[in-house]
Amino acid sequence: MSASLSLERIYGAPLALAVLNGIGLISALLADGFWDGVSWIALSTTVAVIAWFALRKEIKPTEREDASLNLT
Amino acid sequence: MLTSGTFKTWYLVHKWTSLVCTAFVLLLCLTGLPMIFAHDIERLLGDRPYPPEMPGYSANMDRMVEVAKAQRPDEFVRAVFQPRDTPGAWVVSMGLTPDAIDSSFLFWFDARTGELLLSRNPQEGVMHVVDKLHVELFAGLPGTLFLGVMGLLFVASIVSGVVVYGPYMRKLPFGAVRRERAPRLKWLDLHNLLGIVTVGWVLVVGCTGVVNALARPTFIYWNATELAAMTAPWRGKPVPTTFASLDLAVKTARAAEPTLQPAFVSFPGQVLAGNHHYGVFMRGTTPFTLRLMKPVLIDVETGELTAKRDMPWYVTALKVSQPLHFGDYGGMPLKVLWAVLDLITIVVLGSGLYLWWVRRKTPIEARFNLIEREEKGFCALASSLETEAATGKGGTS
Repeated sequence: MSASLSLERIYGAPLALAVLNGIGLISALLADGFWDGVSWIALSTTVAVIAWFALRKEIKPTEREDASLNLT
Repeated sequence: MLTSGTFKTWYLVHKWTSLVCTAFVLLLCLTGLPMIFAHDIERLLGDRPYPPEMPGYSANMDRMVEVAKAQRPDEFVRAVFQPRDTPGAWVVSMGLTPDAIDSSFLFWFDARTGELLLSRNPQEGVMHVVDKLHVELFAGLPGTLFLGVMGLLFVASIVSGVVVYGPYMRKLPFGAVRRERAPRLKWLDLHNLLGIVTVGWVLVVGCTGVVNALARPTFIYWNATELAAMTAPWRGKPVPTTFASLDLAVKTARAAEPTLQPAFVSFPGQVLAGNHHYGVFMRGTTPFTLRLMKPVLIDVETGELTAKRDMPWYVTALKVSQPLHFGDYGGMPLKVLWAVLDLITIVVLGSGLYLWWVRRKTPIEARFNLIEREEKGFCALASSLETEAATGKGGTS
């Protein structure tokens, strides 16, 4: 049977999203205007990732798209 | 990778810290939701005017204090402040005693014309109830500190949640939700997905919430040490019966700190002023320095500058942590995102509670083995996709 995923595979995407969260939280604090926009985009990405995985139909083995592979 | 023994320990930490704090964190999430939009709600209800800003011109502040005193002759002026998001207004806050912590009445004035725009009791209304629940459970400082401890447990629950996420995801691709199988599996996957994706935001809001729970002790400490040192020569003297001009005091403070703007003035008797001074707190003008305060003390008898100094690091830490908890620093889009992330956190809490309930009778060792068995359906797919990706056959067909 297949081996376990490596730690990098398991925590890679969450870590990338946490960094993005951090950028979003701090940028709006630095200045208005452009940096507010950076914050909105960074935090929207988090919400979009959740919406994508939580609301999509279950992947059947016949389908060939696996978003986790696209992410890495 | 975790061994079965360490998994068990982390699992138990996650389970018990969550069980203890979930009810309170749910309450904090639910009450926090309208609080994100508190100013917008107050504005809609007509409780918050927004006079336009007109820099460089300011109405006489002594007159504002007179108008407020005339309407509430038995009360005392606690402070006069300029709301951060409404620089066109000055607000006079009254208290039942000179050292009152809570405001008994607020008078909103147009900063340009000095016109009284609105007066109201801030201890009334639904938002006040929401605020009191969120900040202190209607139990004063002990309530706040209790919620701070719940916040610490919540942070421990998040950290342990991240650790136990690993073993659950050993054979599942990121974002997998097994929705066509048992409801418990679907909710387990959703709990894992929503929890891990929002972990950065939730940790920041949780930790800054704990820091905020220490706000009052922090200010009391600041007052008892640095501010007390600044007013030491006047210690023990009673509050004077007549005060020098507030308007001139603010002008003196502005002259002393020309790059800063006055944010609020605490009146004699208040924690941040002492018995013999106006505490004029100056702030910067960028989103970051807007939250930092520099106290300038003005003698309330002579109107002369007594002392000024920068905030200590721990007050800076508190002030910087506040926006990161409130989400009020990036316009309406950030507030909406804050609300969405808050709602997602509610789903994580609810699903966690559900997962504990349906599995509460399963021994923990069985659960670790269960993870192995439950993965089987999905790992075939995962491995086939991995092989394809490795050999270059994958992609859109």
